[in-house]
Amino acid sequence: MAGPPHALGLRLIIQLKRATRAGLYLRRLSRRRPGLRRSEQVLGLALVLPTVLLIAAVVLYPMISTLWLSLFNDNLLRPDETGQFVGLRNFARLVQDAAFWKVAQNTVVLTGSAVAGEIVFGMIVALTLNASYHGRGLLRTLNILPWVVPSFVTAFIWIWMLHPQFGPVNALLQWLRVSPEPILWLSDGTLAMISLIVVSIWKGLPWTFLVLLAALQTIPEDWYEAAKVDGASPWQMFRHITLPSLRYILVIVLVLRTIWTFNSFDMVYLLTGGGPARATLTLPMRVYTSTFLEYSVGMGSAIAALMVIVVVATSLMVLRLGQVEEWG
Amino acid sequence: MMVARIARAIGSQNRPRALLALVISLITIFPIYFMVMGSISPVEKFLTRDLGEILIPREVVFEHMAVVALDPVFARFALNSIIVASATTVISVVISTLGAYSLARLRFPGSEALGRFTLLTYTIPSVLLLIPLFKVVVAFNLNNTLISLIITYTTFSVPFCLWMLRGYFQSLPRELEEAAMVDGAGRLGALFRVVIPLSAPGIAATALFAFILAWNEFLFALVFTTTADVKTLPIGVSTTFTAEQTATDWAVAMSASTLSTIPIFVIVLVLQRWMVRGMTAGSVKG
Repeated sequence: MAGPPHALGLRLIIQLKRATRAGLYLRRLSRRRPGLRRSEQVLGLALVLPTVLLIAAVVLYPMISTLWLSLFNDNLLRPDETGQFVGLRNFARLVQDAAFWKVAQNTVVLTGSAVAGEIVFGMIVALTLNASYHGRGLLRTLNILPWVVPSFVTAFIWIWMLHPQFGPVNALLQWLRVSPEPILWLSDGTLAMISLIVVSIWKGLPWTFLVLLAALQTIPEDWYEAAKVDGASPWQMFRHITLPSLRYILVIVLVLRTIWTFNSFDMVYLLTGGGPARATLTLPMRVYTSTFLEYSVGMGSAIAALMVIVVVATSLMVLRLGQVEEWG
Repeated sequence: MMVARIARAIGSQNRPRALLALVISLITIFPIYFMVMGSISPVEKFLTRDLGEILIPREVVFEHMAVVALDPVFARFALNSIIVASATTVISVVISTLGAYSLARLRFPGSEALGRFTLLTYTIPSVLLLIPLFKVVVAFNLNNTLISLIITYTTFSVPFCLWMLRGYFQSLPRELEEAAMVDGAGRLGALFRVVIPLSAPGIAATALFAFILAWNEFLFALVFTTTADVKTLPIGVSTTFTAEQTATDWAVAMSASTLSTIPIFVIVLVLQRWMVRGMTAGSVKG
């Protein structure tokens, strides 16, 4: 398998550095490879300590704290009082609540549709941008841009794009005579969910296609040459060379995109606010509204705790499937 | 012009792919183009629903841009964003460079497990951390400060930066550092004089990610900051410039969006090559 795409650049840098001090070191290279001494291990720990402390304070502690808080009925407006211990009652209330299951269902619909769309379109974009033609670099750059647009800007743009009276989406549909009446994209439950999925795909596509493109570039060109000599059709080449080569990276993309979409808050909050009539309310939104609008820290924490169970199970799957050393 | 260049694509077999790529790119870029047009077109022209007028405006005005750019409130949001994003970038890069070098080269008992653990952290739902962090921030009297945002964003970016840089450091030939050390430089000397200069592209890409993350973050800024003097662009603009009542408000909102996005676009266009390279090298190896 070819090295990562930056290997070529690295070789160039090393060539340039030949004349510099680093290059001189290289030439005076000793045959002895020093083993790691105890002092080096201590240094290793010291260097990684800031990372560990930061993650422990801002990730590990809050995570455990959330699981703990889910067993109490704290009120956000009374921060000095510790709530009563209620055991698993918060969870029991959630499980019996039909509205909660609707929210869970919305989250699954959004995540499943958005990730499926990102992978299908991401593959198409990666394939079209992998061929060789003039202007390819420019097209790659253009396709990356939605990724770095801040989420509040994305929401602004799309609310206006989907505006029933003035938005270009309805203007186009009317011009094409698809729909003579203006479509109320964000005021109907189903349409709002569809809009949310489309916007999520638009925002998530760049990451997906970049990773797939990087993986496509590691497939040796002569495999396709050989297949062409054997008279394979483009579809057969895709089916029997491209897809099997990408199998592994596709699993990683699928799992990571699923986790990130499952956890995503901004787009729902900004684009639909969970509405109309809770039709697009998702689990991360529900954690926010329970805690900061209904002041029920216990319920918010319980929903967050349920989410983390789903995510940790999926993450462990990544670690097993991905064998991190292979792609780290 | 670009269309013509792409149409002249080398090898006729690539022409359908080039055309498809062009069509997809135009659709992808349209919302961003629309945002820019919305901020520089005369309001009444933009509400005509005339598709031609939306695609190629005949008249350009900068009054809405000027309204936003000269607004001291917007300037305050922008300054806060610059402070938070810059501080996050510098701290994340320093911490993750040291940590990544340690995980890449200085193996100590448990370093592999630690590496895996840091990776797990960037799959954790941020809403999960929101409630306890908010309580901590309030307990330390840090609510409504930029410091609370800087600490939080740094932690979110460190795991990703650490993995990108670890991959980058591992790809450097070990011999370079060993030669430096044989010549009398200590481990840290080798890190600062050999490894870091050679990793400049990787470090630049890492810095870019930390900056974008901090510049765009919404949820924690929403909960941690409440007054206008400490709000960053995402919260400031989305709460101040969204009257949504008149068309002029929309033009102003689009101008504020455009001005908030331009810095990121400039950085991406300048550092694009390094960014893609760093990302593919560090996070996903094909």
